[in-house]
Amino acid sequence: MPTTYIPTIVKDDAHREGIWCVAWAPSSDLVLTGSLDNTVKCWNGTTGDEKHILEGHETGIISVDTNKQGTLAVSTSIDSNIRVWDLENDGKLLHSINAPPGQAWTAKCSPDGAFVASGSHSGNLNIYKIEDGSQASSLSTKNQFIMSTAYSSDGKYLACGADNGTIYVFDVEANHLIHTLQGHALAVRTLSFARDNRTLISGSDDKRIHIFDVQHGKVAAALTGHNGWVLSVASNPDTSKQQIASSSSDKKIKIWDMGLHQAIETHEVHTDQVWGIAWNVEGTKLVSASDDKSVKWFASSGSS
Amino acid sequence: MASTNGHVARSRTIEVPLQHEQVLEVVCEDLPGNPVELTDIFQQEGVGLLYYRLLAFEYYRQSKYDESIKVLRAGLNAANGASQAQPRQKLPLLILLATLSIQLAKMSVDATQKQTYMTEAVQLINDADRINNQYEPTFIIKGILYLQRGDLNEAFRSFTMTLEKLPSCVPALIGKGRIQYTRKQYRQALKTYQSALSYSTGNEYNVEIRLGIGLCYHQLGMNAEAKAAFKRCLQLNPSKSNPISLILLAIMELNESKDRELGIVHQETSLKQGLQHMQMAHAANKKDPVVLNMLANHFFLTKDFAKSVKCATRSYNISRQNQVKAEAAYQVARAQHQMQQFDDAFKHYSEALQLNPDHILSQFGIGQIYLKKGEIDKSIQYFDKVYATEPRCIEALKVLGSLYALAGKKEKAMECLVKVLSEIKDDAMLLIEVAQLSEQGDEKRTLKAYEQAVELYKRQATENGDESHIMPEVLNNIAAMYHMRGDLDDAEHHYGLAVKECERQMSQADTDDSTKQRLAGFELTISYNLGRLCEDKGDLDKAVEIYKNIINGNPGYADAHLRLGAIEQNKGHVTDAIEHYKDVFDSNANNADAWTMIGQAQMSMNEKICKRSFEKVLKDCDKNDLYTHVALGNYHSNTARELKGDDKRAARAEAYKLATGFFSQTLKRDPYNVYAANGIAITLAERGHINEAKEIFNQVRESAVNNPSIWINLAHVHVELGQFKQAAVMYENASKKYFDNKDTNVLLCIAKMHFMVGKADKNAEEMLLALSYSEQAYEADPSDKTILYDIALVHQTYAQLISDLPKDQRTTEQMRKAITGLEASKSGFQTLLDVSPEEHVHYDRKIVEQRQRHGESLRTQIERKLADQVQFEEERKQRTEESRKKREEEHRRRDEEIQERREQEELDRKRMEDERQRIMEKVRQENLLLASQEVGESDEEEKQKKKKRKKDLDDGIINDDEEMEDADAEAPRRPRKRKEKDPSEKKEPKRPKRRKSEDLDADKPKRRVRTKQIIESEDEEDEALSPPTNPTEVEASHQSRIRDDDDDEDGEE
Repeated sequence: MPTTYIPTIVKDDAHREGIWCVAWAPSSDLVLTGSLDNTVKCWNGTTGDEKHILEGHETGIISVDTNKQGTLAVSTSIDSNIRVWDLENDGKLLHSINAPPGQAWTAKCSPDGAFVASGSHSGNLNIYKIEDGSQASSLSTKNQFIMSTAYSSDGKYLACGADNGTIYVFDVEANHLIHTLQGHALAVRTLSFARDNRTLISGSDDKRIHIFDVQHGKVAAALTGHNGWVLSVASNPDTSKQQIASSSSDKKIKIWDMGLHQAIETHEVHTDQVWGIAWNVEGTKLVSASDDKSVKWFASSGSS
Repeated sequence: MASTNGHVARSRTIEVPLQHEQVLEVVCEDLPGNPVELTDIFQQEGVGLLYYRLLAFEYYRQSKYDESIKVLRAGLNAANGASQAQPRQKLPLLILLATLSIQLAKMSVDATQKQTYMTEAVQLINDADRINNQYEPTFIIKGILYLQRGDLNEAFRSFTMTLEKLPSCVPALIGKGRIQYTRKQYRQALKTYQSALSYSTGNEYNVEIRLGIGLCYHQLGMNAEAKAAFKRCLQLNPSKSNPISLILLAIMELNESKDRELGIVHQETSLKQGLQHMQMAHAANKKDPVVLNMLANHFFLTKDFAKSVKCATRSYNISRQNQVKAEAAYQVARAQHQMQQFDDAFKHYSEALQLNPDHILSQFGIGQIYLKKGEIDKSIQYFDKVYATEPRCIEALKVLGSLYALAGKKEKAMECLVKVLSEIKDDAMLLIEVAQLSEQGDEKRTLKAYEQAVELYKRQATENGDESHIMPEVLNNIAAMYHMRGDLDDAEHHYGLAVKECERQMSQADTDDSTKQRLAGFELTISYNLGRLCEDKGDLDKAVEIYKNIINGNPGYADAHLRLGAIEQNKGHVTDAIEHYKDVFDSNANNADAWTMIGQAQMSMNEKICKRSFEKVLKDCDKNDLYTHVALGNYHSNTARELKGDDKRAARAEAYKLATGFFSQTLKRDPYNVYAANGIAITLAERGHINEAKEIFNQVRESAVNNPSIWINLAHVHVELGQFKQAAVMYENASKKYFDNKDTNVLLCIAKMHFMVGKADKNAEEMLLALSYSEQAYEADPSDKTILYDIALVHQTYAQLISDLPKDQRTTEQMRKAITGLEASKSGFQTLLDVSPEEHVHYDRKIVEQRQRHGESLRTQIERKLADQVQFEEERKQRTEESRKKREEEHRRRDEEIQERREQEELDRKRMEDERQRIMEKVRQENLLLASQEVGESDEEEKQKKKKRKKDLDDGIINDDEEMEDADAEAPRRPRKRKEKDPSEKKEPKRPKRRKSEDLDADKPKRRVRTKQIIESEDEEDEALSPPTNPTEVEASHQSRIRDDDDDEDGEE
């Protein structure tokens, strides 16, 4: 039975410029959005009220993420600046890591909150220690610009997607490459591990979403339906639902059934490309962020 | 129709008195084959001329013309030889002989022979005239001769002359009637025939006269009378059935059988009778061409074409009348046409038209044959003729419409078909044709026509009690229309219906193989369309599945391969895409589309070999392919653009020349080709002919409003002309409208415009816009390092701008922003410098280094200036604070004043109100008093009134209402009095009171708002005014700038 997600809260003009990324911090129930206006904003996940403005980036924010508990936030900007914020302390800036120029693009926080992984122009996947901002390691790929990264929720795997469509999966503990996944031929802008830690979902400029079986390194399914670049994918944390949410430059948000490999609903509520989409930890609500400067919430018909 | 001289032999024997009282009995039924046997006896016996005549006449009756002539000649010889014979006795023989000659002339096919008979007849008549020029039969025969020659006037004169002398001369009357009939004077003809009938005694003439009468009646529209006349003919001569009246009857009856107004029963009897009469006519005279034509027509209708041809051919051979002959030829042609012997049919149609150029049906037929042959223009010519002579012939108009459509004259075709549609509303095929015609131009009309057609089919089906079956072609077309319009769901629905219909028809037992094949092919098309639909719906997997299915069954289906390739290409698998395109060559090595797609794919990989693929198209596949021409034009144009620098000037010019050549070739083939025009304009612009280029772009834009590249190019031209603001607007519109704001090039163009404007106008806001757009471009395509350069450059330029601004036009905030920007810019430049030296980059590493150094020095400059600025702003803040205080003080004072004034007003009002109430009360009491008093004390009342008025005036309150009431009081008093007793009296004091309170309530807040607004706007004004702008200062501060603009622009590009 597909759940229907109903548009609920709408924050128009949430930022002064287009919004490029969104994350939902689990424990603190904060929604974080990053924008071209150089700020990260924190919103009450339930009411949509603005809580904090995280300022300091000098260029547009391209990614925002939190650790598993939702106590830390990590944001990156175009100028390779990584900033770590303390969400328990009104979003106080903890660190500003100035990666060497061009050595950071979108970043993800490791589930335990100890590391930040970010792709680079040169094709390296750089891992920084949050504690002191030093570089912990650098995993190299084939010199292609790494546009997206993702940790599995158990922290075992780290995946990254390149601008030529190749996806690399690393074993974090062993610190080595375990799979090179082919399938996309255009840039992979977004990656998301499903809660089972074995399924990786990717979205590409080829308008498709691929579902990979990480253990076997194979494409399990390719989902078509978007009519533009797939800019963001997110798997529903509620594993019983087997759902993926995706957003695209075609201004649409789609919810997919992983079992049926089919879109079960489509929302056209934004007036410009939708850069980011995120679930709450229960998997009952969604939030989307778009170039139209708005942030919009959706709630499943069963939840409050 | 022979007319003879007066006598009719009734006896079947001729008794010829011989010499010696002997009598020779000639049995008419048994005339000797050679009349010489008899004439020899006549001659020897010196028999009178009368008997020659009788004998000849008998031969004539039996249609033995030659024998008859021989007898007459023998008679004339005898008369010439015998001296006792009077010349006048020869006259009847001469006349009969002349009649025979005319008859023979009529019957002869050969023209020269005809002529001989005619001259002979003339000679005989002249002979007769020499003997006696007042002999009436001569006039008649003269009339007949003229008639035969077609000289109606002379003939008419002869007959009239005869009738003057012998008003009851039946043959003359008949001749006259015929002439009148031919002259279409049917009434007069009828009269003449009727008088002939009254004079006529024998049956022989009766038939002919009644035929004439019948024809006249028919022409006069009196069909019943006409038929009666024809039937009378038959009754008159039952033994020798008269083919002419029979056939006329048949024609009339057959015509009646076609007349729907008569009802089906009548029609059927008419048909039956008509056919009967026709057969009888044929039985009566197997050689009558008209009958034969009728018969041919009948056989044609019963689909016995061979017999039809046979009859018609016989009729053609026998007939000597052009019109009848033409009809016969037409009958032959029509049957052959039906038997698909088109060449023969064509020959016979032409023959018919030669014999009778006005034969409409032959024109129709020949038009059809031209259509069959594919000679549309000639066909149109014939149908045009048909339509011109028969403007009510909808059938011809319909065909004409279709023909114009085939000939590509759509407007004319539409004109015809719309006319037809106004006549026939329920022709689904016609609607479909109209729909197809308007498919290219008028979408709405097309769909409407299709929908009407479908509706019609459905209605007809329900009327007949079947399920509706619409041609799958139509359903497919409807679906395609929806598809193109973007109504994807409707399209899918109709494609589904089309497939279903195909399958239904396939499964039907009576479908033959060729139809099945056609349907299968058609199903393929529909499934291909469905594939396209899936693509448009974004369901690429299903689309791929469909295309693969198509290819499995039909490996040669090129379009499916091409789509598979296109899907791969869109996914970025260009090499795979090319493989798919190449699959097409298995079935067709010279498929232009496949080569074009390959060329395009190669071009997208930036491979120079695309040129070869395109050239292959022009060389081997289609040298007129427009797309390829444009593609090659673009290729050369791109090549030219890459050839930068002075040393490559010649090569560049050469490439542009080639590009222009290809574009011109395209335009030569298709003068409305937007892409080629666009291409030419680009080459013009690239070579510096900006205004000409703009001209062309503007023209193209008008004809192709929705072509994004035109808008972009126009914007480029505005850039070249230095109109950055207009350009920015155009870029922004195009970006939003066509590229969803994610085309990096367009975004960068917009950024550049804001950058240029920002620099030119020293406008920091514009510079920030430039930054925003550059960052958007970078987000869309972060792998493009040149954007990083642009971002860094914009940051730096912003800092420069802020640094150069006079103190009072910038803020410390802006300066801090500039410094952080310089940080970002430094790291950006560093990224670019860090790129490994092997990698080819689109920027000059040295310039980046210079930039970075410049950024550093700029930063120290700004940091130095920042301290000054802080101080400056501090002072300014104080100043503003002071003035603010001053202002506040003033406002406070003003507020107090206002408050005071208001209180005073309030007091005044209250006082007035009290006074007023007092007066009112007094008036009320007086009124009450007055009411209780008698009317007689009116003087008193008057006085009091006046007094009251005076008081009012003293109070200074001028109340319109009250004055009005007072004016009323001057008017007749009685009604007023009654009024005062009414509840309305309470109104008086109340009304002004309410008004006043209303005014007060309304005024108070209003005034307060107004003052507040004033205060606010004053605040704003103050802020906006300080610091005051000083243009001279702006100018002065920019003298220190040491920047080279060229450098900046290169970086932006």
